[in-house]
Amino acid sequence: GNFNTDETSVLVKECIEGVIGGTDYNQNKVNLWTANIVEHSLTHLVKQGRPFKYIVNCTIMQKSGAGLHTANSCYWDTTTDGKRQWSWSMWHLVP
Amino acid sequence: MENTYQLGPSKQFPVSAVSDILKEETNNNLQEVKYEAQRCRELTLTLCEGIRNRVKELLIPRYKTVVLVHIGQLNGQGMQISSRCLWDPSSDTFTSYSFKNSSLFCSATVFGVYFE
Repeated sequence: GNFNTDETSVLVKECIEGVIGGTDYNQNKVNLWTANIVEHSLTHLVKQGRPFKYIVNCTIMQKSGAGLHTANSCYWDTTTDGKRQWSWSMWHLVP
Repeated sequence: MENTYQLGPSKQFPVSAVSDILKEETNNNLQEVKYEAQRCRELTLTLCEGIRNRVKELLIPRYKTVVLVHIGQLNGQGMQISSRCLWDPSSDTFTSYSFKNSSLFCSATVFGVYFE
């Protein structure tokens, strides 16, 4: 079957919220966070039981005013393969 | 593409050749570049497609590739990039290259996945 991106979308968003929702950037924990997000996402994907290989990537960057650009380019079968990307961002208001 | 009924790839993903491509493309494109939002946005895409095209030229049969490029400004911020894959480790692999100059950093990764 084809790669269904909508089902996955809900799973991954919930996963990200669950791991880092409401937290501040913490250099000591960021390794654990990326590992958790990647692990949970991959587990959910596997549970779907589809005949796919998966690559899950997670990038967490501290908010410091610095810019970040990310791009990906793939050479694959567009009728069967797909990709999905989620960005999550948190702002602090400092009085 | 159809099933081949082979047990494995006839030619493995050439990790060292792809590593060299990553190193060359990144260094050539970013060596003297100063971080600037618009330019780096374009450079990220250019670099990504450039790497993908060069890896395609290697003509590795039945391998699909995914190229991932991050370019960011150096501002003393903390950062972590992680990946995990569900695949067949006897045929699938990846390679990565990190680059840094005085104003920016770049992380480029290529994943090679065998279509059995």
